[in-house]
Amino acid sequence: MKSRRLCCIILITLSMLLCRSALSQAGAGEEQLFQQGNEAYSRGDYQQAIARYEELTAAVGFSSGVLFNLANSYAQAGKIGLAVVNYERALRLAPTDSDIIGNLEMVRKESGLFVSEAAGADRLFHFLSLDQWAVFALLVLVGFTFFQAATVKFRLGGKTGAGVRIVCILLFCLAVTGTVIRFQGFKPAVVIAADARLLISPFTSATSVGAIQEGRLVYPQKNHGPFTYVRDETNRQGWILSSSLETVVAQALP
Amino acid sequence: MQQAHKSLYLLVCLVILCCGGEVRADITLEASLSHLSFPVDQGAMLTITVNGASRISTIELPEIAGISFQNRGQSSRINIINGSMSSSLTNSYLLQAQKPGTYTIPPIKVNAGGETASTKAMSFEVTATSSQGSTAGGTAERSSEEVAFIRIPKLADHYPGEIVPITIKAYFNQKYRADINSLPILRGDGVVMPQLREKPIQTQERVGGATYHVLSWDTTLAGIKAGRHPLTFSMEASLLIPQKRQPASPFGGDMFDDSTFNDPFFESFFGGAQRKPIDVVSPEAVFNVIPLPVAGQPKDFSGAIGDFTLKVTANRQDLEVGEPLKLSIEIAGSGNFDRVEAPSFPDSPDWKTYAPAATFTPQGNSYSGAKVFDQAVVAKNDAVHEIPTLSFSYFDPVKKDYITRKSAPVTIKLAKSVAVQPPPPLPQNTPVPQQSPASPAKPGSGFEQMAPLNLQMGDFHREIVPLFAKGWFLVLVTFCVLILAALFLWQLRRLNLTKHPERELRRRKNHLLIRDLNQVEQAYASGNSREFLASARTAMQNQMGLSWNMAPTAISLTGLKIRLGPDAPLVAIFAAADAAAYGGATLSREKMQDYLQTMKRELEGLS
Repeated sequence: MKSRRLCCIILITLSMLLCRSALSQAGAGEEQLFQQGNEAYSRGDYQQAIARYEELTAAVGFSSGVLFNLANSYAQAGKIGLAVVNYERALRLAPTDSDIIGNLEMVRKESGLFVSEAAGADRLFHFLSLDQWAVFALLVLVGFTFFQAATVKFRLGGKTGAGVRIVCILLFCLAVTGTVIRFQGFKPAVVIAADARLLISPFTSATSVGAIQEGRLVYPQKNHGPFTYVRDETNRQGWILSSSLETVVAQALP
Repeated sequence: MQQAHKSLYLLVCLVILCCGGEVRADITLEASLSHLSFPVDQGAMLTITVNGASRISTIELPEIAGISFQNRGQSSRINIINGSMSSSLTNSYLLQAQKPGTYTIPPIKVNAGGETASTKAMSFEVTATSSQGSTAGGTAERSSEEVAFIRIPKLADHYPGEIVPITIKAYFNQKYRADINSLPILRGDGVVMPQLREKPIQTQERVGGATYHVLSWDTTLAGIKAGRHPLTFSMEASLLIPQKRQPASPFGGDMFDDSTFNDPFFESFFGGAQRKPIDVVSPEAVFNVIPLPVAGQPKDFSGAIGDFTLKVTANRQDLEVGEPLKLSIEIAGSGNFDRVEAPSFPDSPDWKTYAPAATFTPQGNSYSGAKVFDQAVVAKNDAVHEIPTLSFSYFDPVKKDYITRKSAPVTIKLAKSVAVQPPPPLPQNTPVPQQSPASPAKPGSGFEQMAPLNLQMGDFHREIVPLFAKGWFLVLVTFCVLILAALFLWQLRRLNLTKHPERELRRRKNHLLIRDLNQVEQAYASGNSREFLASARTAMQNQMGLSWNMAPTAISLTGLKIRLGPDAPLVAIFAAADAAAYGGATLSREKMQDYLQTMKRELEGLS
């Protein structure tokens, strides 16, 4: 019986080592592409850098480092919309990365993409990112579970126990609300066309609600033919050509 | 004083009661018309006065072709002169004609106080309409019997995006009572209408010989694509149909038939009204949208259609290089202001421009007013002496041509600064600084202070998912939830046991009984009578101890005899067990089987 268990453990360890070895073999090609992109960026060949980073992303997926460099390349190439898309993607993988936050703010500021500051309750919920709210909710849940488990062994009833439970439940509700509210803004799209317009109807000749800047975040609501109905950060709503948009949370790679 | 008043009232009442018989004595009838000649769009008041009656049973109004009577109510009067009392009742009717001509009202029969009288015949003339009503174009003349309808003005050809002011009029015939349930709704594709205001303008108009309440909404239409777009307007309303009361007397007979409560006043007061939903619609109109001419369309044309003026001013003329200057670009007039965009500042290496902020101030309606664009510009060097000419192009639907308005150059004086500084932060209320959309960032420009490239690739992910959707997170949450659920159930059970301690006792007794009987059966199976009796003794002690709330070891043969009686079967088994324990007595297999059956029966009965 013991020998069978030992065999299983050895097999699992070996297969894990083999997988790791295979992954590191694939990583060599990725590293090469990444270096080529960085070199192209350093010599000012932003189009070449973009091509390398895009190739890398299409091959192995999204990483905050590659997306950040790709966004920088787009920004330097003057493609503000695509720069914002990739900064936003990078932020979803590394929400607290100060370089990503700083460069995104700079690109937005230089392009006049100012975002109105949140007010009231929104301000509270924007104090933490989506993942931070989720972690907060999880910590409260785990803490509450431990507390409840401790009450089995130790007598933690009375006012203290009730107080701890109420605080835990309130904090959990707050964290879940924060997560839900921040998740509503998790899947925006970005305007990537320079001369995009919001229209009142899904027709090319429809009356315009107004121009919408490249790089502006919008929230798609529904589709009709080649048009998407969106709401922008200033709560303007209208139809826009779907080809003028790029979603931040892209489809999963095959 | 008050007593004197009361006495006077009593006296008057007595007189009225005493004279009641006299009131019904003789009746006389008078009928008169307020005008013997009146235009067809107006009417005359027919008054029928019955003297000497306190109540009118019926007035038989004649039916005259083209003439309608509308009851305007009844009034009564009582005169007491030198103790002699007389009363009169007056009924009023609004008389209206559908077409001009000479008409005669035949004698009208009136039944009052059991007597019947007739008026004299009356002739009158109806002349042509005094003034033509404000009939809206594009619709046919209406019948005077129509309850309600909507009229809109005739629609001409328009351009896509052109603002077309219209007035929607809803007509409600005064002969009927109606309630409005919704605002007029535009039905049709390719045309849009802004939200109508809640309170319309209310007037009265005569259409086709009938008087209508008219509700008017001033609004606009705009075509969104070229083509012929049929459209109608509709609104929901309810027609209030008066309900007749049930016969006054459930017993039949004449006692209540001629009752005062058959008065039309009570009919309307107690009868109530039934609501019948109706759709008020307009005739179909066609909104023809023709495409804008392509020839001669200016490059800076943004889709503005109407009539506009352009005015550009600067907040100051003296400034230093690098200092922001606020331009106010005012485009005033009437038209589709939503398509009016700021004139683009000409591309120049001498100027840095920021995106303008727009403010629209309407004047009276949504399509007239002034749109002001505040734009910050910064002179990059001292070679500039004026703000260049700005231009704004629009399409004039009246002239059917594109018009380009140009602003006059604004002269400025630039003082040389020691060093060109980046522009200082603008005040909060100035337009937000940003690059002009017309001049996208050039490669490498503006982002020199960007954070450098990341030299670490980081972990790769096949898709971007939020943390809470990741597997480990969900597993952890599920684990916590399951533990909490288990704890909750456990606490619920514990609470339940605390509330019902007998259940726990029974459970423990059953548990112990099963365990102890197993041991007894094992001893029986092995044929060891000492072990059998020792197990049997333990089993009995455990069960009795729990039942009597005593320690099992404290249960003795004496105690058993006292509680169960000396002849109880369990006492005999316990005695045999004692004898085996202290005297070394043994049992035959048959006896053991007998004891086992007895013990099972007795102990199971106890638990």
